[in-house]
Amino acid sequence: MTSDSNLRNGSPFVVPPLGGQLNSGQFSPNLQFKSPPKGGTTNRSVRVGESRMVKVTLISASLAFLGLFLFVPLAALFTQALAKGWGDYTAAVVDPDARTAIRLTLLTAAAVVPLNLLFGVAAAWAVTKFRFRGKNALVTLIDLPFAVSPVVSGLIFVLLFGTQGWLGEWLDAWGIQVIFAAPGVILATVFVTFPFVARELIPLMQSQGRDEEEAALVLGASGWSAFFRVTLPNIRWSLLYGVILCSARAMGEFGAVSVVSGHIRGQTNTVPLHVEILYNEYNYTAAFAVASLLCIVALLTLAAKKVVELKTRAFSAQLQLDEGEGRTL
Amino acid sequence: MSIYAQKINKSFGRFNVLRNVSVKVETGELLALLGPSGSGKTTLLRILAGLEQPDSGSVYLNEAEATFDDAGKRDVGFVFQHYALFRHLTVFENVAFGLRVKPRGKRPSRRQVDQRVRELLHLVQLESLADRYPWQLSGGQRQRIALARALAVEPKVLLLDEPFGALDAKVRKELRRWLRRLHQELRITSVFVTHDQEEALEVAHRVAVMHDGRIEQIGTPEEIYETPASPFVYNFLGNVNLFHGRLESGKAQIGYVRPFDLEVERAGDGNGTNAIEADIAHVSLIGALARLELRRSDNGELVEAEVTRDFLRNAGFKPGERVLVRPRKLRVFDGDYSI
Repeated sequence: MTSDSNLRNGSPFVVPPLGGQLNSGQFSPNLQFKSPPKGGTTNRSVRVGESRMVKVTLISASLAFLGLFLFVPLAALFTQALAKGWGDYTAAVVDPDARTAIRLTLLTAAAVVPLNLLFGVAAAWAVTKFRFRGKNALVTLIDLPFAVSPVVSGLIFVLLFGTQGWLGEWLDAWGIQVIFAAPGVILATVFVTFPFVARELIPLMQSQGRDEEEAALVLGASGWSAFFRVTLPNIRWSLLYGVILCSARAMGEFGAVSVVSGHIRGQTNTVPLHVEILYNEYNYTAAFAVASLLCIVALLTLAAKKVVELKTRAFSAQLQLDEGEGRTL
Repeated sequence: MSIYAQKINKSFGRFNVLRNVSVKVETGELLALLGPSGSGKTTLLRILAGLEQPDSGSVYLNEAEATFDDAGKRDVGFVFQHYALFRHLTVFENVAFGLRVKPRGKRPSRRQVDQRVRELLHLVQLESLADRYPWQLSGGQRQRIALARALAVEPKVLLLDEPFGALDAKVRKELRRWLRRLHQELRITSVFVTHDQEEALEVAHRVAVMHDGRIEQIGTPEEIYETPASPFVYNFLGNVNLFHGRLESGKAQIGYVRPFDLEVERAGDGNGTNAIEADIAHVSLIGALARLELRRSDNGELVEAEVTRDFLRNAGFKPGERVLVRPRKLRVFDGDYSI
């Protein structure tokens, strides 16, 4: 980013206002330059409570906590999974029931993520680019799945689509089974994960405003063209971030899915449900082996999230510069 | 292309932004919509562009009704107050945008696009910045790119929303001059919104002064400045002194006098008819002018007078001195008008 450094050299006071927002690697050379030479402590700012003792105590407490509640269980999980060797581990993972569970989980994610992607973009678009009555109510409703216990969400779907439910008879007459089948699992997961994308996009799109879309429209672009050429590129990183969170949750969801799936082995079990069954059957090695798959997904998600976060930050750093420059020049 | 907005009404919720506004812009004319914030000038501009629909009233472009035409179909170029450049596209691509989104049949070839964009960048004197991104440009540069982007589709009308609002005074002045030159070159019908009276008077052929959703007065800069149609216009276009008085009928009246239309002489020097006694409270020098702050002896109100620096030097006025103030030119409006 050569141009980036040009800008920095050009304006003398960039480091202080941006320091807070940009803690990515790009700016570290500057920060090093500012820090006092080795051994010199005169320049170090004396903040309240910033003594060596406090610092060491806080850091070691955090590390101890993380170790106890994160690394130890994670290590235990993989140890337990591999306790009887690679053979048993692979056997547990390729077991037909496990494979069905994995397939259903992937199918669910593949169905849920595009649906919520569309819904999230549509909702964020509606909330941020239009004026209408009930906008605040809509924003609150988008958060509903976060507020409601997943078990309750599951029960709502049983109440709606179950054989005793409101639509049960009608669905039965058409020979459609929702509850205790894949559609139920997908519906429940859609419900639980729909805030992720919308929540990511709304603040960003709010801060970006409507000017650029309007500019595109005046220049003769159609609505679609304005969306694909202007809106989408502007929100791409946040959108991807929301999708990552949404898919992670879709694969890991337990509560709501547990209610609607019926735990039918080899048919309606997702990976988390399969783990629970194995565990309840005292089949610890298999349970941990399958659970380790979820863990790997989680770790991959974390890595992907980190990458996207860095990208988003670089992107919003540009926007920060954008605003700052506009005022000063 | 001429523009005619007829009896436009627009409200947001309970707030009436435009009340029965009619305005006509002749082909090739440069009109300024001047008014304080909240006077409805930007909304009127957005209605002309098709970015906003009026609640009632019509918009005619070239004498054809266009009230409900899409913004993209009106042949207008719009320059936004905060530029609204596409932040993910280079300067070149920003300018090329309007050409690239044209329907397939009308879309120019790659070479034509390239040539047109180079031409425009030359016109706004920013050829060297083609590969930069908007965030790498200064405010003045962004504004010129926004203008080049709007001109790329060869609009018949150019609409500018506070085009220099976000820039500092020096850049503003330069761009102002540049815009006027550009308009002389292109002769494109233009409307620009501003709250800066100096800008409006300096750049525009005609000025429409807006207040509270209405057009208070429309005319050439001279007309607007010399013969304001209402106390609001008087007040908005520069400093003014108010003298309260009463007609023989007993009706309250207020006289409006510009600071430079006040004669100031040392008390006792003249004959004192039609003059007001005042004390000099403060003298400040601004360039070639001197501003005198005078406190009336009869009611203690402050009056501002502007005289040349030379005059001040010859007269040798000092703060605390008693003087006589006489309006050279005074305009009277009814007293019940409140600003």
